[in-house]
Amino acid sequence: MIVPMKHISLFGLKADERRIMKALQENGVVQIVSADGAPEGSELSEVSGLFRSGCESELAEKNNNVSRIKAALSRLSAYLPKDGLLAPAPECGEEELIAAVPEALSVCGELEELQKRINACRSEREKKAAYISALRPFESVTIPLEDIKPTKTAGFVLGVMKADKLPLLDEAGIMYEAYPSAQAKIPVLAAVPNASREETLALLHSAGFAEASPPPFEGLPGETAERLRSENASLELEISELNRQVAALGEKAEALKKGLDGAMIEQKRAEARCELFATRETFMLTGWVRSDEADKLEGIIGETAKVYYLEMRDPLDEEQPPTFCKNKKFFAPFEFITNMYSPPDPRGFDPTVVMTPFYLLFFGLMMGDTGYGLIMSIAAALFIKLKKPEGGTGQVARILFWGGLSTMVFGLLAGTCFGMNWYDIFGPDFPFPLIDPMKDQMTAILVYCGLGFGQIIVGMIVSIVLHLKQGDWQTALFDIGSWLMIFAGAAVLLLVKSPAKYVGLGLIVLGLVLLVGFGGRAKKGFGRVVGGLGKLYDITGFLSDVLSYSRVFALGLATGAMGSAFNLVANIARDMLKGIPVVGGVVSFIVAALLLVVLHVFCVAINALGAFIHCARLQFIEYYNRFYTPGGKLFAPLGIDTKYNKVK
Amino acid sequence: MKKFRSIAVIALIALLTLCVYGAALAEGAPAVPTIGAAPEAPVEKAPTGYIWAMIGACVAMILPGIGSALGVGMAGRAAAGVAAEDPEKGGSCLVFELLPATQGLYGFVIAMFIAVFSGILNGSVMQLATELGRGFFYASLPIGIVGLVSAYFQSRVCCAGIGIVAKQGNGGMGITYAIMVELYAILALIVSILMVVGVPVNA
Repeated sequence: MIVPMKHISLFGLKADERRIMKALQENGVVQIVSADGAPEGSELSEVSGLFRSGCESELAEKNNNVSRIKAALSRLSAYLPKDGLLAPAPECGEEELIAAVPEALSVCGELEELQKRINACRSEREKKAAYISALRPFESVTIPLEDIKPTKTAGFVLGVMKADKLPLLDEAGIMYEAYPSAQAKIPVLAAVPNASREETLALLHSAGFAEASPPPFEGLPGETAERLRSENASLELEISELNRQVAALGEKAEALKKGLDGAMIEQKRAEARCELFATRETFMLTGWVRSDEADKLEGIIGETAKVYYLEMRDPLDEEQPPTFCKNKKFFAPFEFITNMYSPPDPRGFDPTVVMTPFYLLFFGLMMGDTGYGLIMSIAAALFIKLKKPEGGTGQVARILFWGGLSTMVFGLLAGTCFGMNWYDIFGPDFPFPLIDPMKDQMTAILVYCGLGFGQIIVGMIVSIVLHLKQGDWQTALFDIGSWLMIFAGAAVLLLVKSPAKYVGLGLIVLGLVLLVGFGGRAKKGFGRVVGGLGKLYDITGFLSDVLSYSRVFALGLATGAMGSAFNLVANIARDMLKGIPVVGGVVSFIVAALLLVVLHVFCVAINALGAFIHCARLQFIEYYNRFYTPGGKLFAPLGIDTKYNKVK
Repeated sequence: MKKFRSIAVIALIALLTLCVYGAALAEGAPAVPTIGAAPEAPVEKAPTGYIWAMIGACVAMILPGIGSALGVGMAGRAAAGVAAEDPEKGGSCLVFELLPATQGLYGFVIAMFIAVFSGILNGSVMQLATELGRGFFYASLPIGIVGLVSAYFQSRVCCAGIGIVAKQGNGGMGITYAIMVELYAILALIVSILMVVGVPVNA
């Protein structure tokens, strides 16, 4: 059921504003929308603008907190203690979470400081490594670099060249000193007389000499490189020490997680405050509240503030309130399916209750394996029991639980058990399955399409009811009722043998007359006739919708066939391994068991995904098409939304 | 797109020619004449149904397998891109990645059906009459070809759906869009199943 919304305007004293916002957040009853009341440029809008900019800077700070703590958690993710896969989220008070924010921020500060030092060490190391590689060719030079100075008559150039080209320099009469090293090119210091500078350089170059200058360090290049290397080694040690300190911060995970949740609570509140409108002394809040929680809201505000004014009214026609659906505990998880398509229009109809039985029916038929249903139900039940999931995850887990139960039933009626045929397990006299899709394909397809046709009929009936409620009896009778008459008439004509079957013929004719005669009632003259005849074309839509249900047959069969194929694989593996002497029996058993477990778990997972989605699609396209008005936006009240801890 | 087209076309043409050529060769070959048989007795041809049945199982597995591998690969790359930015969205992307995987599974189902019904598993396939073997081959074609093509196109919708996840946080209608493409693989699967079980092996 869709719960109607009330629009609220709350006026209060600014002094109470923070307390009221806190109380609203703790109770999660109001969706706040932006309040705007002041004309542009007026004094009022200036005051409110001041208030808003204050809120915005607070929000910026809170956003920064959240992103800092998130970054810290992701930096520390490798060092965090692992939570149990099925451990439920720890419970915590809201105050405790908010109180944890400063500690978390100080951990962030420490971490950021450490990271800064690590980065500094790294860039230092990179710089030194670059020097080391630039010094490498000159490591064998045996005079300090600063001693290489030009004399009155000659300068010196330092460079590298191949050792076997040195005789060329001798021939040219150039004075040089070579420092042999193991490298392909050795460092050479050549004297260049000022008088014949150009010629000498040209000779040098022609001998393959390449000028190069080592990085500007004093002393012997070899010693310098050695010193840089040892400095880099100690930097390396420092980095690993700093990394150890970072890892040690992993112990503070608890504080960080609590701090993140606290910061997220504060962030959400700060966001909501930005939507308020304020004068010097008062503030105004506008938003939506569920009509069944209106009294609760009054109570909350009455407790928190002495002076206030609360105005509530029904939504105006031009307003689009958010949608909130309230269903019984069994149906509530299936809202997830509807919301996957689109939440219902707030003035429309919540289809969850009329959809759930069909969803479970077709889900069961598509999975169609009692063993898999059992596994799914047990797994989902354990997950719900241990992890206590909420929100979308919890809804999906509950859908899978009920879907598993349905699968068990329909596995018995029209399917298999762990990929095995029932009559292979219990002998040929076992009465189940009633329909064996492996043996009697056409019956199975007909039955499933028939069930689908049933669902479409239900969808049309729902549509008629909805149209009648709105007083639109013409659409209900001419567009939908006429088709129902035709279908009913056809059924009577085909099934009844006595002369009473002509009642069926009558119904068909009546239906056709209504359809063709009034289908085009919105138009005049010739258009009306064409419009009415055009309605007949809808029959193709019915046909394709019904045929779409044949997927139920294919998916149901595919589950069983995949299961039996996996059984076969395990069997073959066992037979092959049996041949191993002595240990063959044990090994073959273990391998086959492992194979069965892994393959069947895979089979459950992939088929559950397929059934979940295809079944949802049948609802969306074949069923909702008939009556559903989508386009709502989910009610999202200001509340407490945490990641790691559950708030009590 | 161009790459896919070339892969698909090459795979299809190579496989089908090979199949038909091989089977045609085998059908032309006479059975080994028994020594001492009267020379005027007509040379009896050995049944070649086993070749066709094997080819059928291959087609049913190979073509949709290629399609699904391509499709899951493409969607997986897109999903990894989103997960790299925002690991929390990885879960929603996984659904999109798995959708094109089903065609390969359907092909696997048909291949197993052919293996069971034609007697590949218990060895009786060697006595399969040629016409029956051909039946299995034809039965593999719907899921083989439609599976290959639909897995690829479904994957493209899935990649777009992953884009929805990246921008909106959850897939929403994207999953429904992707499922639409799957209908044709499912219909092909149904037709293939009906054809396989319709081959009158025990008649």
